[in-house]
Amino acid sequence: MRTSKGDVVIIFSLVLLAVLVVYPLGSLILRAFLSEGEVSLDNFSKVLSTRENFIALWHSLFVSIISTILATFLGTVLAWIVARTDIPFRKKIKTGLMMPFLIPPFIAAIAWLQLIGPAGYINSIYMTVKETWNPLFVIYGKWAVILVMTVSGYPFVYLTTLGGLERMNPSLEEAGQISGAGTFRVMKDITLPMMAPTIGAGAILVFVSRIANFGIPAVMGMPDNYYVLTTKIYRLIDQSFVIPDAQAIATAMSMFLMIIAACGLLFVKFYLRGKEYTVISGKDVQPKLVKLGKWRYLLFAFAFLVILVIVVLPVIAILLTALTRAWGLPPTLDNWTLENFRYVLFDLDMSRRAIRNSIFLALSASTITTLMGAIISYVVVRGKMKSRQLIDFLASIPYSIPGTVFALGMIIAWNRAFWGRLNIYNTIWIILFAYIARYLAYSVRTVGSSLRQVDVSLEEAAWVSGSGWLQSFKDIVLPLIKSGLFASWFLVFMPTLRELTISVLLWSTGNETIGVAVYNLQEGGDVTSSAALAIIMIIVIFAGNYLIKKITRGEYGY
Amino acid sequence: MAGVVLENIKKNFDGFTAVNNFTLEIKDGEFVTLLGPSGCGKTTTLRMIAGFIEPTEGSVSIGERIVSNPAGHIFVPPEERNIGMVFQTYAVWPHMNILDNVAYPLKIKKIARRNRYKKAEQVLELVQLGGMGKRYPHQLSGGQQQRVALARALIMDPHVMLLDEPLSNLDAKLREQMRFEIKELQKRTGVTIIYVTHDQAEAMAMSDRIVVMNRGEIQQIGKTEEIYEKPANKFVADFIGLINFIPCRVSRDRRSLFIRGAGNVEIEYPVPEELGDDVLLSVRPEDIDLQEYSRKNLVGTVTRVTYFGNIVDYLIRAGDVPIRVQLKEKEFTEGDRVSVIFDCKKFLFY
Repeated sequence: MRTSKGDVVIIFSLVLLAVLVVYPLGSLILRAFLSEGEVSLDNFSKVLSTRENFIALWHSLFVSIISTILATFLGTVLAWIVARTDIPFRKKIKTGLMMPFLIPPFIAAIAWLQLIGPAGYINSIYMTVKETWNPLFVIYGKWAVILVMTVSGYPFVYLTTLGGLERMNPSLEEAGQISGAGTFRVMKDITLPMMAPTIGAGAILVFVSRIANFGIPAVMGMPDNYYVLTTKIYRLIDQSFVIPDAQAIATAMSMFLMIIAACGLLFVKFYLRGKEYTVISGKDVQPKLVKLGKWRYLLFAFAFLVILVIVVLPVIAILLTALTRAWGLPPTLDNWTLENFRYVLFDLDMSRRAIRNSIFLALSASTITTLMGAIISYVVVRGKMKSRQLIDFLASIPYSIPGTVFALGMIIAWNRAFWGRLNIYNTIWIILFAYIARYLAYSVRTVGSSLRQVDVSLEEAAWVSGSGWLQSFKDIVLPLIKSGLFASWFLVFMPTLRELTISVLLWSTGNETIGVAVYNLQEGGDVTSSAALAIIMIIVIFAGNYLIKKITRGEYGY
Repeated sequence: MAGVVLENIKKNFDGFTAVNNFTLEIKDGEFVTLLGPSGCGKTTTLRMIAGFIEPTEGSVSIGERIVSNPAGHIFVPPEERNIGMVFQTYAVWPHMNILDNVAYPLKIKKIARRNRYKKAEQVLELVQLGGMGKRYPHQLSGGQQQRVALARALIMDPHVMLLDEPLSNLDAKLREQMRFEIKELQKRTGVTIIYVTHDQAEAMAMSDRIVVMNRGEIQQIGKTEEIYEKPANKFVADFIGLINFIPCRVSRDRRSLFIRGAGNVEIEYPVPEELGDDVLLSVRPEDIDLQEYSRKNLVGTVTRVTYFGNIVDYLIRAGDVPIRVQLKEKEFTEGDRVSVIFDCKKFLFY
């Protein structure tokens, strides 16, 4: 980076981040400490002293902690099975177990509701077979939330642990074995203790993502009056015309949410990451697989069952619903129809708008963030001045805090007209702004990592050859980070297409997203249309994932 | 302590033969090195002795006990072989302190805490790490970590110690120092050592015997001098040290050689019958002398001179034949015409 042009880039980045990140978050924090025009802690005491608000905080912690424990156990066991045992179809199982990552949590929740809810398929089948009106079980409210949070959350632990086990130098385990320890003793004394920080980091990622999740408690909890922080904030904003102080309380509540999430992430960043054992691996020795003998099929059956229950069954449930004429009819062949798909794609204005909006948002957000990400990561990777750490930090905030909190900040910041008439509130632009800010971290990270692989001497060689900074950026850097730019574009495109948490707070009539449409249809009782739209979304996501995996040769995608 | 016997070992990996026809008897207390280029099967062989790999055919015995014999359905897992092993990457466990690392094999043997720590202190003393027990691996240098790995391998009084390129991650100076330390340690403890390396200097500095391997097969087994002075074949001659290969034709009376690429210059040398009419004369650079230009001898031009301090390396071109020569002094410069004089006693033929 050289003098004046570099400064221009830095100032440009800082201004962008100030508008997109600092302004909404600053407004949010300011609002939380303002009560009747004065700085105070009143809003916080209202959260802690009002029973229903306090209970939401307690519920958030409860479901997140329980589901984190369960997901960590499940993720660790599955990672060990895939990385260290000789089960049949290891590669297929490995990929299959990552699939829950592709299904948006709120769609997973809707699917599970149709599978195990009071009127779900399992209960209907049971009641039909037994000719009774009493369901086999009623899972609703907190246990349903915990169940879906667990099954959609374990991949965080599964992926980090799997990566750790695969990168681990096999000599460390062999040294244990040659010292006289048998397979399970090596696991207990060496593998597990060495993996503990990695598993811990994965567990905290699960916890943070669970406490920030909106879709699952919205679908599974709210109908049962079981509120957590995210859904309570949503409800307060939804009713801010009815409840006095609603916005102020929601803001204070979002502070709690943000602080809990931030503590978790800081703990990972500064404590666990430092503890993770980086082990030099010498020769390329394959990690030794535990020969399971006859246990091999049992563990295979277990892993297969997990995929069946966690991925296949819910998708089948939602597909059956989408194909059925009306919710409640048995999903038999004579009740099958494509009418629901036709309805959401061609008849219903709301869903047609939502599809158009989501495609517009995803295309523009991914293109803009990738361009910005390229500029910002260039400053971060190549820059020498102190401002680069500030820029890196600012760019990573919106993704680190819960989406609900960030969306609330956007509302408070932009809920007014600027210069008399510029008002983006209640337009699609506020959603676009929020998306750009939130997913900027993705492209900064992705482009940054490919930029780090371009040695600075390659650029210096261009400068020595007489090319200017802009020219060498265009001729040398851009072609070399092309795959990183592509990956960044896709990594933003996919989640923005399926986004719910932010848009559910920022949407207005005419500016719905697909996520909002699926959610509203479900809430409004049009379960079959909701399911049809969800299936369309799942198909697009799986196709997109397949595409990116093929094009990047497995570097990105699952 | 014990010897190790490998009989007709063969190892196939998915149709690829990594080790073939490998027979070797290692005596109790001997230091044997498996030497060869990467992919020659030396590490595979070592890992078959350790028990991490099961041979396809053949048998491995440690002491009196057969530990691997697929034909007889015998396979003793690594943890029951009582072997010490030192890995290329040290494999010192980062979550345990030095003392716990070293004492671990005794912990498995359920030796009381006090006794095993006492023994661990003693072994650490032996590898010159006395008093370092409370530290953690990341506080140690690469060389110190390697000593921890040695101590951990020694503490169980192993039947045999296996060392898999233990020095290749250390810098050059430390590597040389550790060679002598490992040799010294072996003399003091009398443990049988099987050592794997691709570095011939390492092999020569420590070994009682060297096993040269290539493409999964033994090329030669012998003491250091035998390997260097009487290489069994062209591969060994080429792999160990530097050597010139000069294609020659044998005269009809078999009393002299003609160097083909250099205008059929004649060298007087009685060639044995069994060698045939075309031979590959092999001679090491230090067995050649250079003298002032004289018409009677093989004549060449100095094309490169490299000064190494203790020796001077010359590249001579005689006709089409390049010849490496190493002398003590720098006597000639590039472009000089010189006579090339061979020490005929050191000739080898392939």
